[in-house]
Amino acid sequence: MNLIWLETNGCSGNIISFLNSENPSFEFLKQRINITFSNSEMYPFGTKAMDAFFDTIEKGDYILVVEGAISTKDNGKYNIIGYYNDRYISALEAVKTASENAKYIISAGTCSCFGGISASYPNISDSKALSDVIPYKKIIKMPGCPVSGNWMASLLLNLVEGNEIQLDPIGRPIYLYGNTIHDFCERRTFFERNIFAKKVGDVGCYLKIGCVGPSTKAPCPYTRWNGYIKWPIGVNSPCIGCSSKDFPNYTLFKEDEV
Amino acid sequence: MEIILSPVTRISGFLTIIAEVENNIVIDAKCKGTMFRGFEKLLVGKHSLDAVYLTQRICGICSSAHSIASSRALEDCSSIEIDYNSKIIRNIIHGFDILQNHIRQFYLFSIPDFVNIEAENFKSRIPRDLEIKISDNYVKSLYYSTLAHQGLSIFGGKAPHNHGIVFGGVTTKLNQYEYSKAVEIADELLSFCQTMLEDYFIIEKYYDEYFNIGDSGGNYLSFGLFDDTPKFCICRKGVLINQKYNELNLSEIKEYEVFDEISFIKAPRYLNLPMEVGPLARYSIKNGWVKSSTLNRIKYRVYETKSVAENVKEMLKEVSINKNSTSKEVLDGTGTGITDTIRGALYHNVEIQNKKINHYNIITPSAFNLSPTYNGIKGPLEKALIGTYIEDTSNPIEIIRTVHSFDPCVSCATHLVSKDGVLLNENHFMHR
Repeated sequence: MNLIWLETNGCSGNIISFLNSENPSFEFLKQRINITFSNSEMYPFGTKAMDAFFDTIEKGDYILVVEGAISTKDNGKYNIIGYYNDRYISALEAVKTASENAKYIISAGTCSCFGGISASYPNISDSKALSDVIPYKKIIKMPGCPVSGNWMASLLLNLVEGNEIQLDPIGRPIYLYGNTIHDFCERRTFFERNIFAKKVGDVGCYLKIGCVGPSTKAPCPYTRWNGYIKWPIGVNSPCIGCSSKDFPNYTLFKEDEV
Repeated sequence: MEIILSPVTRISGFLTIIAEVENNIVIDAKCKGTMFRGFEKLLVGKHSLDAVYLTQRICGICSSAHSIASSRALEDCSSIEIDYNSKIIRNIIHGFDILQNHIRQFYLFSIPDFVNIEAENFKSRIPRDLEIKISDNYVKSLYYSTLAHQGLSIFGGKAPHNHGIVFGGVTTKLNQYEYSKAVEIADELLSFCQTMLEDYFIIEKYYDEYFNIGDSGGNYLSFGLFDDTPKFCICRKGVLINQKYNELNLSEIKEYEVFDEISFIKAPRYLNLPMEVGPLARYSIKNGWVKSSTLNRIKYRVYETKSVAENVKEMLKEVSINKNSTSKEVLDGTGTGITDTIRGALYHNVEIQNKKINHYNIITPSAFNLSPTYNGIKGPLEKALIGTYIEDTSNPIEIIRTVHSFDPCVSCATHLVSKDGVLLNENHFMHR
């Protein structure tokens, strides 16, 4: 199956995270998925890259992955993704066009899912979540800042195998986002024994210094991160809720209330 | 004729190159970064400690660099000196990120400009058996750049966008279980550096004219890489102008705004000169001036990969087990944090009032390298493209080779311009 990975207004960290995937690996997925357009990864450049983009759309039956938020100010002028037929194509126009014929549409990362960093106040580029730009399309939301490459790779593998993906009411796969960080946190016993850390780096539960694990849904505690060894709480830092809807519009490191 | 290359792929972010070509020679070039978030503005009003995590989101491929510059800016503001162990752990995190990037950049982004990996994209010069060897290593490189991020994650919790680096030091307490894996990762990466060198020399052999293509002007700048741990210093702070070494004086950096219909890259200058930054600049500042060229930029990136891998391996021996250090006492005031990183010199400046960020300014390596023409003077990449011979104007791969040698990152390059504490183009859009 063909896949378009469209980067928009953001840090392009989700494609880097995806290249890191091991569950299954990027190389393994490439045997089943043909990435026809990816600004970070593809050989063609300029017009030939844009040809690949529009050819894939014309053929239909592809997966569209969008990372980054969509800048809508002045008709998308603040995020141009390429030049085609004598004019610049904005990310806004590109997602609208590419979503038309897509079999599956995936928002990769918190900016694409909810606006995230790119749309945070004062948002001078008027960036929006993908679902606000193409409101009537079904979108699988894969939040995280970035989304772990392993979560993305597992989703894509399941999609190409035709497996049904159950989604929660806001569009997140339940097998990944069904539980909160707090549910499976390795520091849970500290919470239950009322042992709270006074500052980052300390041993204990981080609830009182800003941890938003109880309200954040993501599988970090058991999938962990790169190489399955560590995750943020494993290096003595709080969950900052990077996969949550209102990230980063709150204080990440709270003052100790103890 | 005008050639519009948009998008320039195999980079981070969105880059457009517009080249004016006459008789197959590039006579003028313009460099445009076509995305904009206004990162400095979204930091205003945020809690000061949050800057270290938030600024990492500027860039998905070099995030750890921003966490270092940002924490240094906050520490400068509060006059805090972090302990040696924190410096070592930060440099290990940064070192693994450099390895991740350089391996990825060389194989995934640069190599396809010289070697036909999957399809015949241009006329091959390299014999097929060597192309196959390099193509095999292209696939292997995916594993090694992933492995480098695993090394980072042992100390930083996750990558991209690590959690380990915070104001006042690092949160990470290394235990001996994790240490043993980190040692293996560093060792594996170092052995892959030898493969990278071999593959580089194959390219050099068949494309040696690129030692005479891609001259940025050859003025170099570095903010120092690992110079806070002198045993592992990759490059000290310094400037090379007209091949002569000068001490770095931060007050000589000025940044200018250039209004453009679609581009948002500002023009930083040192003594009003455009400066090339990155591995070649670092090598020149450390070992004496080397000519600016496309192949030299690639060469010294590959050389540096090996030096960084060696240093990370040695730095691991110096980490104290089970020790960390953090702080939460940020004082009001202003602070500057600088470091050289993957693509060159990175500058963060912060002003804090009532524990909140009142003002933030960022100058990135790619802003130096990709900076637009200001006052009639071309930016380094623009200048480097001029004079390039293009065999087939419908497939101007020669331009792409030089662009990739700078390892551009446009997510990083597009920022607001600050002058006397005022963000000049916050109303950028009004000017259009």
